Amino acid sequence: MKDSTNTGIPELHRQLMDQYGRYVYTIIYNKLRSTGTKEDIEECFSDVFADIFTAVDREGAAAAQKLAGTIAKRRAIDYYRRLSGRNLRSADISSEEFEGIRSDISVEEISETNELRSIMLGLIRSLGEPDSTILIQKYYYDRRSADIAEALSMSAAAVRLRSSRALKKLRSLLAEKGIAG
Amino acid sequence: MKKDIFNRLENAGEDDMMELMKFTPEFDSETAERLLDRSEQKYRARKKDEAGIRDEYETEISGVETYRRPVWSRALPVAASLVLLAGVAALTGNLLRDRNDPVGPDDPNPPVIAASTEDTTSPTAAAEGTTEATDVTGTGTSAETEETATAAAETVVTAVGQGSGTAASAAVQTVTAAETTKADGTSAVTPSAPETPEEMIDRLGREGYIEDPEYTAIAKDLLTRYENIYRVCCSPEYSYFDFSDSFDVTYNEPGMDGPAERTVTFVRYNDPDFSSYAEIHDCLYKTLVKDQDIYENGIGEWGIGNNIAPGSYIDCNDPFPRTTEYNGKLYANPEHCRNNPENVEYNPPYTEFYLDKPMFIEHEDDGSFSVWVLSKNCNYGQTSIPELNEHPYCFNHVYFIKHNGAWGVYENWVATFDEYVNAMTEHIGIPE
Repeated sequence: MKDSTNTGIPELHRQLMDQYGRYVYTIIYNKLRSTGTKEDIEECFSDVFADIFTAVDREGAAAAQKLAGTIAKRRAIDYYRRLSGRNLRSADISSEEFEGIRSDISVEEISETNELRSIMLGLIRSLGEPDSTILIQKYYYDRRSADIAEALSMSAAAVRLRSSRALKKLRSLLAEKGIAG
Repeated sequence: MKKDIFNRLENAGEDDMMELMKFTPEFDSETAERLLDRSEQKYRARKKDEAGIRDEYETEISGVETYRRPVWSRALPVAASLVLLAGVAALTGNLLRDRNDPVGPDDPNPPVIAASTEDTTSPTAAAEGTTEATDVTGTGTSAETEETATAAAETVVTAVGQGSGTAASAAVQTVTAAETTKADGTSAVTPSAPETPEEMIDRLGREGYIEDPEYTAIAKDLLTRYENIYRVCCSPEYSYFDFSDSFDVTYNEPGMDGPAERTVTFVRYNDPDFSSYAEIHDCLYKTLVKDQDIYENGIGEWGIGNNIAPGSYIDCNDPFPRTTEYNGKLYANPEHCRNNPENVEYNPPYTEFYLDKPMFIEHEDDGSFSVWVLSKNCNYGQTSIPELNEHPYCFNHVYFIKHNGAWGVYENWVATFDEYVNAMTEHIGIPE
């Protein structure tokens, strides 16, 4: 494969990461945000792209578009289970104890969680830019104000100020909808 | 805890995921290269593994004659595995070392995105339909370090301001030196009493302090329009009323115990800047760009109307305009007017900017900027509400954006005294 940068990395692989990198990262981060470290997330990310490169070898570049999301979700779930399993005691499937393990998440709760998420995203969106971006990047992606500021061509002080105000507004909007913030 | 509410965004479905992706930051070039490099390493390692397994399989079925593979080819997959294991071990060592070496704001290789760092326990994995508790161990974090850095910055400002919250106790160390003569005949500089923030504000105003004349002019024009709109829509000036011309309507006013009807009087209002509903609406639309769809009918947060007449009935669910046009003239409800001589104890809040006091311009990008500007504390000096009396000024942080090619006000945030002093110090500089 052509390597135009003399780094040994094929140009196709670089293009695939440019095209699908943010999408894959969004999926992985969404799953592992509360479970894994930054290093875990990056390891999962590189596993996903190794898978994508392999799939592209077999099926061509078009495979990346249809497989990137699926591969990312599956790898993220694998990592999640592995990372979560560090703190879970293994149990014999035939034991009485295992029979006592049940799902505490009902269909109603899943539906309510999904609805809350959509409401929250809608409220964040309603704050307008740049507040929505600042809010998500600072408090969801845990990015530093200086990095956000550079990307948005603002000062770090302005980002800090806007982020705290936007958070107050979001809490107020959530309270209006009867959602604890 | 602020991060709890953002946990709700996790385990998103496809639609919400695409929404989140809009906010996902771009990788910086260093991170992108690192991720690409690592992905490529893993990809090649897998290819080598697959190649090694394939070679062994083909060799075993190649013929009757017993084929003894050269030692080196048998060792190759083992060597590849050892290389891979060594790489993983080295990487693991690096990762463990990094975990013990928290990233701070001065780190030469700051992370693009840091993972969650608070101890959290949350029932998750709703998608899998199981209950799993996660136990996350926090690491040293850029967020915490940033808060420390912020605190440090505030400490610096506090050191300049010597405390916060009150005009009496805060003092900016703008030291004006007074020369004196020492006993040996040489001059000595004796610092005089430090200038309070209010004194600095007044001095800068007298000195005609100005930043970025072009943007100051844009801000002054928009703030003047904003002030006029606020007056006519929210807090009409008592002296502009003509009480000889008025009419009554019935208002079914919402209340704690349910709606109750009462008579409301609309009085002829001679505003110096507006003479019709159309003029007010046009100014609103051009000045306040954030919610232009709300201003399509002129109501929303800014109560103007043109459908009230003598004898009208306004229900509790109907919009209640504070100012309305009737018979080609403006009428306003004087209940919330400013400077009513019959109500000296309290003025409803109104906005009157001090455009002759220093304004600090902060550029965001080509399409936005913000301004720190003072406005009148309309209840300063009133004794009935002491908590409103601390400063003669209110501190406004106004954000402007360019919308459809024209500048407009996006947001007027009423800041605290401390925030204003911080901004002033950043702009004026910390004196030596």
